[in-house]
Amino acid sequence: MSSHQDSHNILWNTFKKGDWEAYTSLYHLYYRLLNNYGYKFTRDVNLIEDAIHDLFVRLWTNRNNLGEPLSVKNYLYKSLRNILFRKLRTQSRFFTIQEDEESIPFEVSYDNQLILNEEEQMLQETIKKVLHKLPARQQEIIYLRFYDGLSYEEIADIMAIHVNSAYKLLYKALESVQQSLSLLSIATVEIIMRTVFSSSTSSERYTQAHVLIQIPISSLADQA
Amino acid sequence: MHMTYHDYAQYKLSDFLEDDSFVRWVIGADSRSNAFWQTFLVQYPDNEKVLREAASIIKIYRNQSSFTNEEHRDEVWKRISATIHKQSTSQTKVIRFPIYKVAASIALFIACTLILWSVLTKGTHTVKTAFGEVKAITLPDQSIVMLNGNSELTYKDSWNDDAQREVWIKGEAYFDVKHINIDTTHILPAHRFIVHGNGIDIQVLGTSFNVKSRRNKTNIALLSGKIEVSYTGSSAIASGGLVLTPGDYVEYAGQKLLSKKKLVRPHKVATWTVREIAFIDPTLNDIMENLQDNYGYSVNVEDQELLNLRIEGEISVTSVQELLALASSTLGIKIEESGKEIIITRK
Repeated sequence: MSSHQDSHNILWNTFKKGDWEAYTSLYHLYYRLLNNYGYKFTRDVNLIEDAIHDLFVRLWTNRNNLGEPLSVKNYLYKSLRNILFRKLRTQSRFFTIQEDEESIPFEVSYDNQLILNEEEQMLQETIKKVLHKLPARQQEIIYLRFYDGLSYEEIADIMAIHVNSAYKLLYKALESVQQSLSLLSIATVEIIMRTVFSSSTSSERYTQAHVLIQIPISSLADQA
Repeated sequence: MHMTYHDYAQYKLSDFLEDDSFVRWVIGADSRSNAFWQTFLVQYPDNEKVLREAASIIKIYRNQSSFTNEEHRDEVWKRISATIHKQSTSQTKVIRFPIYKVAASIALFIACTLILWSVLTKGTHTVKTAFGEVKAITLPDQSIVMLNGNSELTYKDSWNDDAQREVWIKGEAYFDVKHINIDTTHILPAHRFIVHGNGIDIQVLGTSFNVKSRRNKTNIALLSGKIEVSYTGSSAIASGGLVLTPGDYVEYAGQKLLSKKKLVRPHKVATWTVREIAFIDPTLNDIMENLQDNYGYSVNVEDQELLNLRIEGEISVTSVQELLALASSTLGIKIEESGKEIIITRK
């Protein structure tokens, strides 16, 4: 467990004892992350804000009955997801009756981009296209995995599925990604790798180290 | 790490993408494994290509736009606190009026004015705790400070990239400093985080540690990361700054180093952050000083000799009453508590 997680757990325990400042800190620490996660399910910003509002009000009201979660982030993601789904279902009921979770979309967006070079853009285009075709829950698992770096146990907890199902779901998603990528025949893609090969100890994802790496994409066909 | 280099040598692209420790390393969540993967690449150069492909897929995926909704942060927070406030008086539901938008823009205007004002006046912010109170504070850079009872933390209202992060502490605090230095060979001012204590400065590059500055003595326990301690008013090099590694515990009287030792379980010094009172092999004096400093008790001892009595082992309790009962039964003395006064006598 990182010291980062430790301190968030300390905040969580302090908040549970009724400390308003700790509660405020939790809100500010997770506000951006929760908005970003919520935005993948809906573009209705008001709805996301309502869900975050409900989530935090409930958190404070029920603070005496809260257990020790897998992690603070896990607890908040899971609760936000439940609240959002309930709201989205009530909304959609005005049009059609849908009980199926798959009917709730999940979409990552690449609208306003950090500057990528031509090859990176091509690889990104491909990834975009592949992801777009995947079922919503497969897209969500890729997000929780590659964006948030969560473990299978954590993902299973958030999505309320069995750990084995989480493995299977991600496997299916990755298979589709790999198949589509193998169709690409660009000779070389130059990727500006971010923190990977630098010796940095930072976990900030907005930072950049400049390491130029050559990646022959054509060879992906061998593994498909 | 359970996997060996040999196991990873058999990995295909999809195996890497499914591997927990690989993914965590690529997204920068686990810098401790840098050495592991670099060694792997040296030992198995043939696998470099597939490893980098897997890494690039994750990187490109992560290069997506994020929605932060920053402009509504305060408005949503106001709604939350308003609802909670109303709930405590009645159970009526909050209905959103457009007036919130007006209120938000007024609030924004006031906030801007305040920020401008504080920049112009170099305003500082001070958080104080009463006896027996523990507060959690989030600093402008998202670092977290837990402030123990009867303590004071001061910092500038506005932090910017050109200036180092600085706080002043009286009493006891636990710091979890946000690490923002990326390139260790090129440190910007804002990457530095300095804690000013009683005559000494603690320089940090992202870490967690406990500082206690009471009775003209300052002690520092480092839980993780690396810090450098120097004397206020002189540069670290000139005063021969002391570099601490995790587990180190030092005690100063003003600018004089009294002792330096290694703690077996450094996390024990921060147990107060979860409202636990803990000691290791304390004397009765250690316990009483703690009760005076953090809870505001006054102590009356029949015979000063009694203060030298020692309890062997670890104590961990959740209330003062529990602590006093334990001390009196273990040491065979009489401890009475009346209001904020503790009276210690022989049996």
